[in-house]
Amino acid sequence: MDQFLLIALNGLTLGAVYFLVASGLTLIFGLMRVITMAHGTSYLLGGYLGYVVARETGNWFLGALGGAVAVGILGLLIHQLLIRRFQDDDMRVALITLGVSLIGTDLMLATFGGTATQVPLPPELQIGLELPGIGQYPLIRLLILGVSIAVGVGLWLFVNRTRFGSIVRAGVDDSQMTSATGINVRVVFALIFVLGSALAGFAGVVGGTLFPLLPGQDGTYLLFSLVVVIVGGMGSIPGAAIGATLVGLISQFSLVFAPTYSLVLTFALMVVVLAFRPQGILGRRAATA
Amino acid sequence: MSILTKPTDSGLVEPLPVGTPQKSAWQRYRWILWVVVLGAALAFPYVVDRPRFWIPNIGIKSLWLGTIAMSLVFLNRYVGLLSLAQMTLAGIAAYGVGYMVVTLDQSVFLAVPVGILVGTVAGFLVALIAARTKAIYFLMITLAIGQVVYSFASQSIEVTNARRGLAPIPRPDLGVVDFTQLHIFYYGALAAAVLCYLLCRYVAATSFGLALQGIRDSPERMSALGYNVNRYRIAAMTFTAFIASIGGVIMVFDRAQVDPDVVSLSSTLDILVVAVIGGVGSLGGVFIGGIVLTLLDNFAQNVTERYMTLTGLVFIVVLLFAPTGLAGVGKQVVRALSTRRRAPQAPTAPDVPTPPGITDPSNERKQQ
Amino acid sequence: MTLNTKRTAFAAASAGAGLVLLLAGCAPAGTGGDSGGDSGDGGSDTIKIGVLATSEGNLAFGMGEAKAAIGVAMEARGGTVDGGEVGGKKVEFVYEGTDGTSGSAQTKVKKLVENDGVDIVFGPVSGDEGEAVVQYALTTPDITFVNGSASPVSMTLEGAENFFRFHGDSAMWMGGLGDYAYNDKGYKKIYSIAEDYSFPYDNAGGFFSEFCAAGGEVNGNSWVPVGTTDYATILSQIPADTDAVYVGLGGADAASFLSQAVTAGVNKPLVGGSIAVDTTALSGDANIGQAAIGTITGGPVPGADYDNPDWKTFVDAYATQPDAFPSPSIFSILYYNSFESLLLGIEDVKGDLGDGQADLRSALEATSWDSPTGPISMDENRQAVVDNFLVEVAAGDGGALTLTDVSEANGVKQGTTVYDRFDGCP
Repeated sequence: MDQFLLIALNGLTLGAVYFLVASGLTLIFGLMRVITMAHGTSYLLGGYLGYVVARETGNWFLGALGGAVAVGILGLLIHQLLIRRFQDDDMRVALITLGVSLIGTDLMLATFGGTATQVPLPPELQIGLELPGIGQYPLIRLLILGVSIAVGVGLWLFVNRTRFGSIVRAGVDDSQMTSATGINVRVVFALIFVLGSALAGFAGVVGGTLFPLLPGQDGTYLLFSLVVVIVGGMGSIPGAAIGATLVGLISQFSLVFAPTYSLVLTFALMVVVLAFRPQGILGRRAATA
Repeated sequence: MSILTKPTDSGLVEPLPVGTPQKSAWQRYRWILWVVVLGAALAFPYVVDRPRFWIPNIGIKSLWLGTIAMSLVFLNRYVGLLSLAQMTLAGIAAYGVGYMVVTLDQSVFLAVPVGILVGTVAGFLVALIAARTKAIYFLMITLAIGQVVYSFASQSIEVTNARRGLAPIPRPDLGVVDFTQLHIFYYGALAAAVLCYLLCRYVAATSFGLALQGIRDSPERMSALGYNVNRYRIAAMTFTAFIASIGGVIMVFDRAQVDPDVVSLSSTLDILVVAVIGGVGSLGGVFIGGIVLTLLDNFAQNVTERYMTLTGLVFIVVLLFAPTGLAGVGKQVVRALSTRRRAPQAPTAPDVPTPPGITDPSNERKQQ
Repeated sequence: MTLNTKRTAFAAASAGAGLVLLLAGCAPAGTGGDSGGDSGDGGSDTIKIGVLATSEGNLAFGMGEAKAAIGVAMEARGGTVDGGEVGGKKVEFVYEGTDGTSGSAQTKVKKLVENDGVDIVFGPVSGDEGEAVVQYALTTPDITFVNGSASPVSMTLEGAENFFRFHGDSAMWMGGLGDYAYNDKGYKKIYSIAEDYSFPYDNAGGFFSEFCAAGGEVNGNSWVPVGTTDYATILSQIPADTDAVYVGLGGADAASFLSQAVTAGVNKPLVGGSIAVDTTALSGDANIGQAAIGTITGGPVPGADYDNPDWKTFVDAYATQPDAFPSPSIFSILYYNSFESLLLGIEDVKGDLGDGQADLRSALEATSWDSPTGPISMDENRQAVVDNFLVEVAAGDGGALTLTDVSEANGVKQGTTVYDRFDGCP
């Protein structure tokens, strides 16, 4: 039983990292109807920049801030230069951002090298916490779970309960009508893209604290985010939370019970969900023709 | 897609010239292009200075890259689906051949049909899952399915021999046709690629192909007319899996081995790059894409250390400025020249094809 | 119109098919035989050596290390990393970068042999590439292949008579460690955590076959997929009564494991696979310090206190190379030993590559010299017999980690077992 609880908690905390990455992707898709395939690149770049800032300043929070802001600004550039013109062409946006990720992978390799790095964590946080029924458990994983829940709730409130959120949703449903009411939809979309990218950058710093940063992680996290949002339902923030939890749990349990095929099983989850609900667990019917 | 446009066989979705039933210069003289291209492809082994390098590294590799990318283009152009699973299906066919030859020690006469069959059946299974979705969802799902196959291939010692892969898979000497000779193998691959091209063109022109295009343009209408939209999509994907499998068989004999790298993410992206550079609307353009990619792969290092950056830049530039790919650029030039010659005063048809070469987004949006 | 097009197309196709039949009758020059390019003539005054190393992907630094190794060997002969004179002949290099995958290695090795017309291929870096290059070597008997750092056991068991490996395979890298762990460290039960692919199979196989033969017991195996970053659950699987944990992980996976072992409070002694605590991993500043100290491991890289004048000479020469790491990595050491062996062979035959390079190959088969890492000689499979190092991770100056020598296994020979995933003892 202890064993079961421990694996479950590991799954939840791993899912928390996946959720942080996928939340930006699902936010952008939910409000703009485009998918950015450079999302994994944003994750890795954010992690690397956070690593550099945290190492230089000795302050983890400055690292997190730096990673998020820098990647957000880069997101703005990408949106203005490459995506804005093709706002309505989701396929072309996906392909262009895929091209961006090819370049990003290569340039990050040239800049940061092929060896693994990790964002330095203050030693006072590198401790275990005594949990009932589990025993010693790393504090950092619990903190990340907390951060992730806070980000998730914050995003949901932002989209569903604020004026800005309602403007954005109106802009998606009918951008001409929304423009006619005097709201600059383009600015709104640009802001959403920046926010989504910054979230990926922030996730990179958080993930890069727990796990190493190295070339290839960009592709890995892009794929995991895609699986999370497909399983949970694209565009839905609660859906992403459910998807991330499932992916985290399955990957941890399968590491124990079927390690050889743990990756296969994680992706197979998506296949099973799609077979029964093509639009994902909380997705709208729009996914199918 | 509006009523004023129809898909033509010139590889673009272009506006119908209003009131001009006359054939364009492009259509009238395209046979010249055919002869030139085929002639160049046939003479290729005899005109290059180092055939043992050029035939495999550029020639044969471009052919299998192109054939697999062609299956992607067919699906995109006639069905409106962008699949990232085509390399995976080709890889499955390659594994089929490898398993028969290496593990079961069977002859190639059995291995090749089995490989193609395995790849095609895999395509059918992928279609069962993926055909229920479309557009961007379809793209992501096929990408993720490819990763399932990649992780399985990397792990399964029993079937794929994990990372070690299956080797050697030598090219056969069939007596009459000796494929161990490079140029014979090249001509065999060329013949297979040309046949695949003709088959794609043929299928597109059958009533089945026309129904597919109807479904692409308006699934609701076709559904109302009694077509089972899903079944048509599944059939089309199975057909493209067959084409991709042929590409996979050429690949496996070119490489003489098969390992998980053939179904990795970067191989998948290679196929996409080939298709986009060649032009995602052009069945023949893929071979231009294949040649560009193999040349970059072999020679970009002489110019820059950042080969991937260069490839990515070419990819983005093509997407931004020439959505119909390099094949489309050629056509635009030809058309622009001939238009100027024929009717300098008042060209009736706009020469610029409707971007994107992908699917009509406005239409996509309405269906969601 | 569609019909019309089709007819044109079919006409072109059938014309094409006819032409194919005609052309196929006569092969283009140079495609018929097995020989590549204009190599193998031996009459030329220049020896062209093609170098394969990784320049993209996670092992992108492989090319820099290969060049450093070649630089050390050539500068000792008055040459440079671009060429020089060896055995009275001019030597030239053609460098080709790969991304560490088999496909890339196949493309680039063909380019070196067929386009650049090299006489000798030197490389590659990774095991996936190595297996592909051996397969290629089997089809090009006129070219001599000298391995770079690829270490799968199987490579020299394929019967390629033109393929030479002047360093140990990945099972040999564990030579002596199993005995040492059981007898000197007193570990009776070891739990194994290793990546699930061919390199760790061979590496762990080499260790556990020796450890089990000495009387040790394996109380569990976890084979984890490459790229696993979250080890929290794996760590919780380690039985409480185990004496030590074998860590058959490399690169980032090893760094993840070690840093998470700290936060999870795992305090078992560790036995590292050959790439778990390589200096390149230690110089990447992940939080692995605490967990790594006391880890014993085996491999071709000696510890910092290795007392051998040849080694000191090599380390000093290495340090002057551009892009050198603080200390030579496993790749520069293996590339150097292999390349120096090749140059000695060329000098032995005075640069004569005639007779299908037969003399050169005889010389290489008879290689015997004292390398910076001990004597190298060859067995009948053109596989080196070498010294292997057992080292322990220790805290160095200023919180950095160093490797110290604890023992050496002399004259380690290749076994004939190619290991696969195993449970318990192999």
